[in-house]
Order: sequence, then structure tokens, then C-alpha cells
Amino acid sequence: MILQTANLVKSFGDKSVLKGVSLQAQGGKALGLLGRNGAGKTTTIRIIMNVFSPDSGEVLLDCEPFEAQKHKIGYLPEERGLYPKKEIMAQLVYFARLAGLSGSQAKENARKLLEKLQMTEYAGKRLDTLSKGNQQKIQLAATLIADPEIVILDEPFSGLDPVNAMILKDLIRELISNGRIVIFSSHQMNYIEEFCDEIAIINGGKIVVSGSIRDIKRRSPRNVVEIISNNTEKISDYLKIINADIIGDMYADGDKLRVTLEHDGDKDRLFSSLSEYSEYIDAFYVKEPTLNEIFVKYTEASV
Amino acid sequence: MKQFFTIFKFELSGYLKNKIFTGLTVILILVMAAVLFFPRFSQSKTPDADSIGTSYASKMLLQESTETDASLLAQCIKQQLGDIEITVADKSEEQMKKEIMDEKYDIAVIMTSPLSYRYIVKTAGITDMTGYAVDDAIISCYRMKKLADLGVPQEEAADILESGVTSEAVIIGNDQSQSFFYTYILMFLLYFAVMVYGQFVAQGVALEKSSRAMELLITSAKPVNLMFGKILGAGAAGLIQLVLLLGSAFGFYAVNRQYWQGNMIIASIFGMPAKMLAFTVLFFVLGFLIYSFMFGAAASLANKLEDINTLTMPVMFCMIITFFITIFSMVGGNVDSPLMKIASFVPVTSPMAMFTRITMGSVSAAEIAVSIAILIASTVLTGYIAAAIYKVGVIMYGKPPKLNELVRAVKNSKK
Repeated sequence: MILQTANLVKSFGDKSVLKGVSLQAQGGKALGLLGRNGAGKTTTIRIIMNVFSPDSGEVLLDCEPFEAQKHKIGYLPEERGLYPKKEIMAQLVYFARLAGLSGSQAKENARKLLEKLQMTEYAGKRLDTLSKGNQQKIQLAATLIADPEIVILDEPFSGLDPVNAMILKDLIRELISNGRIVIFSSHQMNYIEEFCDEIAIINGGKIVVSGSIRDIKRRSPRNVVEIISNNTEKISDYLKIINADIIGDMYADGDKLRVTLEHDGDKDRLFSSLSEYSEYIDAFYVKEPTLNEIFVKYTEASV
Repeated sequence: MKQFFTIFKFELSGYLKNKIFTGLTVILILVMAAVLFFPRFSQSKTPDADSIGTSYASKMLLQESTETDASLLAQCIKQQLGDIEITVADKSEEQMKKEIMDEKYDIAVIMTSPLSYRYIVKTAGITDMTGYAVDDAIISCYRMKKLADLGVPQEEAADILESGVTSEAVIIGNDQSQSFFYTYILMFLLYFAVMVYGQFVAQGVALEKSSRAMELLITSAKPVNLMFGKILGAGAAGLIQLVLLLGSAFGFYAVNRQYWQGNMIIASIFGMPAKMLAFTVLFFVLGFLIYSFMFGAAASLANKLEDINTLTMPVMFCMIITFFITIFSMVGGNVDSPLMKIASFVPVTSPMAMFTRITMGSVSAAEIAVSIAILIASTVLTGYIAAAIYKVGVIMYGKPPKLNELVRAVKNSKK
């Protein structure tokens, strides 16, 4: 299963929100949809779910026009919301019924899901009597209640303690291994790196970079080198004398010396110049940018 | 359609399971039961009394007097009061007062002239009607005596004095003296039912939006289903409550009918023609729908629950204006005035105005049919427009939009 958006354009009144968004999410893999607040993530998600239609462009599933109504989509909105005054079981069954499940199937799914989330004891309680973290779990249950083929999670980890985060991680892994399409939106980059093979960064209504995290990192300039040494001071002094012309910036942090080179190509010269001091050196490697750095780099300019 | 029923059922069961809703219904039914059963229990102690809330003295002391024939007067009083025990005695006022104090008698009467008297009682009860009966007895006694003086034989005199008038009114239209009370009550019921349930709809919509349950709802259900399911769910709850209240009121009255016969107002309310009840239900349904569509659309633009007050203000004004036009015409006694004629065809005012004209005025079947047809057509149209507003409203956050912004947004969504 491949879900694609092709050149989505959308404006509200005079405000153009999406200016040609194309992205692709595959079953059995999680896609990280990243972007700053107001970049167009929610609008893209809503178009996928057919809350409104794009001004131009289309959504495709396996190259066929995608009709959201005919598929089960689980959505965990960033702005959490259920009925605060209603019984949890009743709400879950309601959302399952809205998705088209039969009454008994809805109850069965709700029961199983609550069990999986260790929430069975709360089934008869009102939502507003639960702690924030537990409400969050119920929200997740509402997302997954209809056993959706496509799951869209917006900041799923916010407000969860480490134990609950573990439970959620297991659930997401299960979804991925069951071949579901998972679109994952978060500002917590560690979670994105943990679950997503692919990312798409949206900025100012356009996808500014997309592809596998591995490739994106590879494609980034490889001009930052880290040297692990038991005598960073000595090495630093030495490099300042003989390699001043190729080094842009250098700073030591404990055993780690980070050197930013003017050009990628100067790595060899740096490496060979260190041979005399090899006795002090434990490691020498290219420091790839973190996802956070990549995100900032691509979204700093504008929203 | 399945989705619509899911939403409808969820909304309806939300009302029926709501403790405030069921509690209020039960309380209202209990209040009606208390009112309508009251005479049955208040009268069970004095089962022979003809009407409620009156009492008479049972022992009377009548002073011998030169002014009138005391024994004739005693006869007349007995005629008025039936089982009263009257003692005629020649006693001074002081003695009589003492005997009243000692509770030997309930009342003592001293004639000061043929048409004036003084009476002594220990306590003047609010419901004690003995004085009026004595007045009547003295007057008829006086007249009989005068007629006798003129040479009219006593039996003829009695006939003349007892003659009364009977009349029969032939009313071709509505009898407003009869219909006023039930129209008044039904009008209020209609007004409050539409207002309260319209507000419930508005609150429900705004609550879903402000609690962000809408985020999930709009991705799992069609907005049209969401809106109509919610409105019809509330409407069904309202209808159930209305039918329960009216049904139990009529039930309680039927059980206690014999105890209410002296009460004109209650008798006229429950004596209303059955078709008026049918019209109440019909106009509730239509009035509720057209107003709820407006309430729902307005509330869909709210961000917080507080916003609905401002947003639903125009709708409330429509209701209040309609209410006042109707109520003033009713009180003024002219429910077929030109203003009411217009109001009974304008969709937002017609549920109440036409209803009042049907119950209190004279309106032809054709006029009723045209008014209802206009109302149904506009309800459908309002529903259509409301759904379009709702669809864009529920996903609009931030300050509620101005009218022109809203129109543009709705137009955009139709593209």
C-alpha cells in the first residue's frame, strides 16, 4: 500500500496554505511529517482525510484516487479531544460505530484495546475523572478503535510518562509490522528517528526535503569531524598550527574535539596530518547532522 | 444513513441518560401530579362540600329582635345553609359574646335594622362564608316580608324571588374565554421547548468544538450527518419530554376530573380540542427544527462555550420578538390583526403566530396549509444553509468570522 499526495494546493481566502505538497507513505513503514507550527501539516492531513478538498492536486492510494470514506483511518489529532463528561466505553464504541463497525465488533475492539493499554478498569469511568496521561491513552484507543489501515499520529507522545511511552512505542511498532501506513508528526526528533525510515519536512506550504533519513543525512555536507582523544588540548594546539587554513571552527568538549572544516575535501589532509599523534587518538569520524539540525536548517528561513 | 442513526442514537441516549434531563422531567411530572391531585386529598376530609376552600358555621345564636321576625329569618338562613343549628334567644350582647367565647356557638347575629346586622365570631376564618349566606338570607327575608305586605301570597313571592336566568351561547368561531388559557399555556410550552432545546443543540455543537472532539468527529463522520443527527437527537428528546408532560397532565386530570368541576380555568385547559394538541406537536417539531438549524449553525462558529451567547443572539431575538407579537395580540384580544396575519406566514414567526391564530382566532384550513407548507419549505432550506455553514464552521478556529468572511468561506467550500 502506498499513499501519495500529488501537488496539493490549498488556500483559505487570500491565505495560501499549501503550495504544492507531494509526499508518499508506504505500508509497513512510518513516515515522519515534520514542520514548524503553521507550516501546513494539519491542512495536508485534513486533505488526506477528506475533511476538505484541495484547490488542486490529488491524493492517491496505490496510484488510484483515494476515497477517505471507503477506508478506515485512525487519527490522533494534536489538539486532543473527546467527550469529557461521557463514559469511556460509550465514547469508544461510538467512534467505532461511526467508522462503520457493528455494535458487537465495536465493543469487542474497545475491550481488547483497553486491555492492551492497561486501561480496562477505567472502561466505565467518565473521561474527565482520568489523569492527563490516561486521557491520552484513551485518545489513542479512540484512534485505533476501528483497526485502521492508515494511522495518522500527531504528537502521540506528548504528556506520557516513560512507562506509558513504552506501551505506545510497542503499539506503534505493532502497527508498522502489521503493514499499516503510519504518518507520524512530532517535534520530538528522537521519536521520529526511532520509528521513521522516511521523513518529509514541510515549510511554507511546500515540502523542502523528503526521503529516507539515512539518505538525507548522507546528502548533507560532511565537513564536521569529531576526534576522540585523551589529550584534546595537545591535538587542538597542534592542528591550529599546521591546519589553520582548512579549519573553520574547532572546540573541545571533554574527550571530544569537534572540527568544522571549510570544505568536505579537506578531511584527508586533516586525517593524514594526525598520524603523528595517533597514539593519543581513539577515534576519528565524520559527524553527521542530527535530525534536529536538519530540521532547523530547512525550516529556519520562513514558515 | 447508518452513520446518521449512530449519531442520532448517541445524542438521544445522551439526553435520556442525563441525570438533569431525567430529573427535571420527573420533577415536572411530580409537580403536575401534586397540583392535579390536590383537590382530591384536600376534600377527602369534608367530602360533602360542593366546592373547594369554603366553610360555614354550624351553630348560630340569633338574637330575638323587634326589627325583624327572628323565626322567619332563621328559616331563611336554614334554607341558605342547610344543616346549621340555629337558636333564637333573647340575650344581651354581652351574654352572647360570652357564649361565643365559651364556644357554645360559632356565630352570633344581632339585627340592628331590617337590613343591617352585627355578628360576633371568635376567629374570622379566611374561608368562612357564613357572612355571605346570612346576607342573602336577610335580603330574601326582607323581600318576602315586603311582598307579603303588598299582598303577594308567600308561595308566589318565593317563586318571584327564586327566578333566575339561563343562557346558551352559540359560538361560530373560537370561544376566546375558553381557548385563552390553554393557548397561553401551550404557547409558553412551545416557546420554552423550542428555546431550551435550541440552546441544547447550540451547546452540544459548541462543546464538541471547544473540547476538540470535533477534530475526531469530522474525520470519522460527514458533517451533514453530524449536524442532523445532533439536532434530530435533541428534537426527539424534546418530543419525548413534551409528550410525557402533556400525557401525564391529561392522565392526572382524567383521574381527578370530578374534583375539578368547579374550576373554570382548569376545565377549559383540559377541555381543549384534541386537534390543538396535535397542532402543538406539529408546530413544536417544525419550530424546533427551523430554530435548531439556526442555533446549530451559529454555534458551529463558536470557539469557546462562552461564544454561543453572542452568536445565538440574533436567533434568540427572532424568538423573543415572535413571542411578544403573539402574546400581546393574545392579551389584546385581536389575534387576527394584520401584524399577526403577516407573522403567521413568515417562517420564523409562524410556528407561534399561526398556532395562536388556530387556537384563538379564525383562520381557514387553506391558510393553515399554506403557512405550514411555507414553514416546511423554509425549514428544509434553512437546514441546507445551516449544514453548509456548519461544515466550514466546525473547522474554523480563532475569532468567530464576520458575515462576509463566512459567506466567502462557505462559497469556497462549495467549489
